[in-house]
Amino acid sequence: MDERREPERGASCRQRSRAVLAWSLVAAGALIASSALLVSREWGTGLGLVIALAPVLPFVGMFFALRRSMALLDEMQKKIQLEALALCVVLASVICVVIGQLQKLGIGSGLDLSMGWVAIAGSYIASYLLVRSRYR
Amino acid sequence: MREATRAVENQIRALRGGLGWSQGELAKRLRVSRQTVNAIETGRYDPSLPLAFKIARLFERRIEEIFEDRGDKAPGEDA
Repeated sequence: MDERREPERGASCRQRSRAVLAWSLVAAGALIASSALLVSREWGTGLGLVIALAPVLPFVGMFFALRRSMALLDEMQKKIQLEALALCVVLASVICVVIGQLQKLGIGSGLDLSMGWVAIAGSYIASYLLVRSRYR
Repeated sequence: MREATRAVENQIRALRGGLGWSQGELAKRLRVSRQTVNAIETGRYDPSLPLAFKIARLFERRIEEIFEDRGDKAPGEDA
């Protein structure tokens, strides 16, 4: 544990959590906007590639914000995150399998792979809330 | 998680109360979150050995004076 960071733990935790949330919202918005733009009309290969990959930038920002945020977690919070992630993997896998099977029947064929983040994010939030409630 | 039988009981709430500290103040001194202090006090989370030593040092007690092993017995098992 880095002792130099500790006096500012509470405030920093909140600031870093807000940064993660902000990057997540920007990433989600960018992905939705990018998807909408791509289906709205035909783009050239170059511009199409830029629009398609633009959402990656805020996701990178989210990655670094998350990494900075995790540096301040204490041991119980790390345990909660680990258990939540383990549950999230299972939940997200189940959701992906269900969607895949339904698509074979022609149900939900409009969903594409780039929307998998919705399943992952939703599974993570549900798992985190479930695990956190056990320690309250 | 088994709620009925807590394997480890602790005296942290009593010790903290004796010093007039809030959970937040104890959390600050231990450099953990207030939620973690609350979870330890209510027995929902057992601290790691380093954190247990830190708690013992803070209260100037031995670990076994703060944490008591109640065992992990199955129902009906002899004491």
